[in-house]
Amino acid sequence: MKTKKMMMTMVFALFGWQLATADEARPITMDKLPKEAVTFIETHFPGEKVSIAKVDRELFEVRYEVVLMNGAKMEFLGDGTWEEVDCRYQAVPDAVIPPEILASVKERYPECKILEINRESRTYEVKISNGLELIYDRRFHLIDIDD
Amino acid sequence: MKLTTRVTLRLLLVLVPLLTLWAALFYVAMVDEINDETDDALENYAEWIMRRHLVGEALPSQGDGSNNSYELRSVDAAYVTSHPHLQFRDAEFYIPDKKEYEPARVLTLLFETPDRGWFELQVATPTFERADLQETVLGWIALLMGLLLITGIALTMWVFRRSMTPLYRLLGWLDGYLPGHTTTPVPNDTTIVEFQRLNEATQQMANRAEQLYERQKQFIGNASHELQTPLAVLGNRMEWMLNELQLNEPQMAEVMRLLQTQRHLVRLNRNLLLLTKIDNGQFPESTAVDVVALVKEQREMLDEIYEERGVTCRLILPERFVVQMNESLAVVLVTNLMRNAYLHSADGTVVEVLMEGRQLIVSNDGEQPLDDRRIFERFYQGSKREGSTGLGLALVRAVAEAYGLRVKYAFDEGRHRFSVTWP
Repeated sequence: MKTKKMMMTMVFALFGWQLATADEARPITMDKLPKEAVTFIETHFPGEKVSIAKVDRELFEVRYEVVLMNGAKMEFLGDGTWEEVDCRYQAVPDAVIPPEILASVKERYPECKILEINRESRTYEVKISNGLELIYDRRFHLIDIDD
Repeated sequence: MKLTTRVTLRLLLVLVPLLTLWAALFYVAMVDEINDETDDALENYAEWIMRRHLVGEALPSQGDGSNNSYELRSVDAAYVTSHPHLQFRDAEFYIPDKKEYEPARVLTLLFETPDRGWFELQVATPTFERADLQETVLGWIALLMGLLLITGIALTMWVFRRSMTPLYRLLGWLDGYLPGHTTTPVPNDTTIVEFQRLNEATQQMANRAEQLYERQKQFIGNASHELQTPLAVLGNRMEWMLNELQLNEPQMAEVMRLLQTQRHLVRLNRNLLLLTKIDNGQFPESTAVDVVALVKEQREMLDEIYEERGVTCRLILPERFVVQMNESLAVVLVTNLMRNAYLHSADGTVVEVLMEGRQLIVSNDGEQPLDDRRIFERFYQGSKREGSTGLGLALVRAVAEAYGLRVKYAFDEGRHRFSVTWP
């Protein structure tokens, strides 16, 4: 009976917490971002100012989103590692892209720019300027091409 | 209350609140998720406009077919410090597509451009789609929960009933069980261990009851048989004393009283023996017996015996009523019914014997009803009467049972009514 009660309480607590925290994004200032994220922005987009930065707290993860004044958008995980860099109006700086992927894209589509890169749990997704989406696995083998 | 009903009710009692709670929680979560998704979509839309504006690309024209709409205006530094940079709210918003104000979810976003200062962007999406979605979700949840509840209960009842079949078979057997008459064994074709044990236990009990019943019957039979001779001898000796000994008056009176007691004893013994014989089915042969003739015969005899008490008899009988019975048993039946009525009547009252269809009714005056559950038991006597053995009605029932007749007692308008019905 006691364990039952405790389990019920736990379920309710979890549920309530989920409801309370599954909140909309909140704006934050630059200094609230994780240090790694700030370093990332300063390294790869020197001189660019932040237009808006947001934090999104979900049940099991925290996510930061930053839009720079040049239109570039990036997402960081709670520890500050980048998950998405979207520079659809310019190009993703080469230094951001893993060298193997950069080489592979340059070799296949020398005339294309890389507009966006996504780091998923098992893959990298790269969008290039001719509209194709290239998917690489963790060891940087090209495994799929979407258009 | 039946077991299945009880179980179903209890399940309902637990399941209804539990499922309702579950459904409510699920609904709240779903609504939350819908709102969240709406907000996410709105955020993406706002971001898209913002980024286009940042890099100086053309903004979409209002009313592009999506119900979304936006407003972009430049704001000064004072406005920026006094207003939140990101805010969701529900408000009336002008939707160009609809050309009217609609309840909408509005996102207000403040952002800075490199050269043109701060801007405020308001994007809005009408909430009727969200409301529609919530309504649909609510409907589906209610429907599915109801369905789950009904199927759950129906399934439980079905499974429960099926599992309990052996119990109901056992109960059915018990309903029909009569010690000394039942020959079918307890049904035991179940594979459920608990029910097997229950059936076996019941069979053992029934066997024991059967044995005891048989032994008791034998004992009564043997005892009354063995008593016959000594009782007869006793009677003879006393008669001899009366005839041969020169007794004076008080001695003679005493011996006469002894003789009376002996006669009562003989009759008691005879009736007990008769009862045992009937129960043992020792009167197999049957002939056509006219019940009406038997009643008339008995009436003459009883009238004579009870003449001094002024008990009279009224007969309402058809010409004849012939049944297939053992003649001795028919006599036992009619005699005991009628003698019982005469015996327990107050002086000067009327005994009535009535034949209605296939029903013979014997009634006599009485003051209060008798215990109709015990009246046909051996030696059960409401009020002790001289000359009563307490076995008369037990004999009536034994005969009735032997021929499948129905005997009933009722107390009606101040009269005891004993009825025997031939099927």
